[in-house]
Amino acid sequence: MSTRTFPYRTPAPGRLATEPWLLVGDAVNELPTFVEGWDYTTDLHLVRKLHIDRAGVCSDTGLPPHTPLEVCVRVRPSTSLLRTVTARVAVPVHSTQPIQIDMLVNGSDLAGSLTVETLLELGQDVPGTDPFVASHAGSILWRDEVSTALEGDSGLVPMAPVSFGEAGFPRSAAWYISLDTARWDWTALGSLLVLLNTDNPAVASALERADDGPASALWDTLGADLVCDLIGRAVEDESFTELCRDLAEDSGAVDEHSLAALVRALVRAHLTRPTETVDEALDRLGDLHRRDPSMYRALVQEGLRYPRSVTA
Amino acid sequence: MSRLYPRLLPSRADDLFRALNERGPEPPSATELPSLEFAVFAATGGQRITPTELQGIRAELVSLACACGYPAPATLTGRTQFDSRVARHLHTSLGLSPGEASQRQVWSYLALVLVPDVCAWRFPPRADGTYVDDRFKGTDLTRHTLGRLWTRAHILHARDADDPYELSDVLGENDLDQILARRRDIAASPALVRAIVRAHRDDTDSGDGSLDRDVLRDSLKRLMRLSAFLDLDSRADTELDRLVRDQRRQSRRALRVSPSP
Repeated sequence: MSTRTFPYRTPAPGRLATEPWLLVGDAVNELPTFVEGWDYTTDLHLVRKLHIDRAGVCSDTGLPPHTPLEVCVRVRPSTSLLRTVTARVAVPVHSTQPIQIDMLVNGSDLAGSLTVETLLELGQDVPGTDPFVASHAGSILWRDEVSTALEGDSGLVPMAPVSFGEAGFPRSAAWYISLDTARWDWTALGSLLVLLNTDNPAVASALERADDGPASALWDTLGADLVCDLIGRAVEDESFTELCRDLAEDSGAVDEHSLAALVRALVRAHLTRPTETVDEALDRLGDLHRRDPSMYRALVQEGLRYPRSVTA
Repeated sequence: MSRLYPRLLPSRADDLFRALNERGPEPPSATELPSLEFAVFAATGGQRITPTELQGIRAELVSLACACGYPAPATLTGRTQFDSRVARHLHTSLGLSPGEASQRQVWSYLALVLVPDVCAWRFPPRADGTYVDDRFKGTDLTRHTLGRLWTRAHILHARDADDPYELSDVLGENDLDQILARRRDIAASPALVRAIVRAHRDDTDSGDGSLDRDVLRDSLKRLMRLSAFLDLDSRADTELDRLVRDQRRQSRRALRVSPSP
């Protein structure tokens, strides 16, 4: 696992106590891993409190007690990776009150998933510091980050209702799974999309009554189809296998929101035997996919306990 | 409100790219509305662009290309002018929010369905007759024929300047690529990118092309090292300018002492 080593002293653990990010909407709730109903017109109102032992931070880092410190928050969408500073709050010298961050993230800048990074940093240059003591304005003393998925109708699988007749797809089909596997390290949200055919009466009905019996059976079938496709494509793709090999050497090689991470998570959750690793399961599934695709599909159904709506 | 553009599904992009290589560009005719087959829109969040509007966009882009020499083989001057004018046009006229513009499949649609001929003119086939896929398929927005121009205009847009796009014409393609290809560090900070371009423009010691390029690249390495532990995004422009110029000075000093072989 890669670790970033700073060229100066940083605070000991415990000098900052953080409360989770809260999403302010009709209600105030902890920022979920997936924001339902988001689109470009939805700005995100986020708030957070941090409790900072300022004296302890300065002591640990070798900085003078009145060194200007700031909490800065920067956000970046997974698609463009362009960072924006959305909050900058000075840490008062004498107050023991928690730092309150209250910020609005512009929806039109966002797509895919959003990463929110909180930094404690020097507010100004600090001349004349000792070696291994931060001195440049902006020197990061502490950071954390959280991510939340934005696009799609579920955190895992982006879906889009589409008229297949208008879009050029087979008119009576139920769905089409669009999978962009050009790069397995790309975020899943940008690479995976399920198109649901609004011209298909069963799908149209299920979209309106998502929780009734026939709809549940339909979604179960879609789930099984999707998992079969996704894992099947992965185990046949040398670039996925190479990425998994890189992961064995560096656990940070694969982003947790990537398509590869999604495949591995599905295999870990549903298809790994008690005594095998995820990579061993992937090897086994790949071999089976090539030798006996029907048995592979049956295994996936078993792993997912398909159809869940009946077997649950 | 953002305009929503068609997102070309990856499988269709593969098919169209294959057809491009086999038969050359097949753009919509002047009277034909661009196809929306195998393309989807974001469900909500803006106003969908209509086929008629797409036809208008195509006409504008073709007109801009013609002013730069299209359909005659592109010259260096023509390509440079095309990049400059189309970058401004895309950023000002398409109504794309940054979020929508970051969707690879939008650019895939524009290059492979709407203006494949213009993109093929800007980036003609290689010696073996094949086109480079990331110029058309949106696999890498820093290399896509049109996506890279929008991104460039967006990052270099200086709101308070007399000409907000003046920085877009400072660096050549190769030098700008050096900066924007570093997507996770330097290019992730538009303010830092603008400071780098300003410093290059204003460097009174510049004039030796090869050394200037080396100075740029060496200073980028220095800035990447700093950005590992410095938050450069929250610094004021004046502080960033000072930092970037200082790194350039150090690079120039180091390269003069031990110039590249």
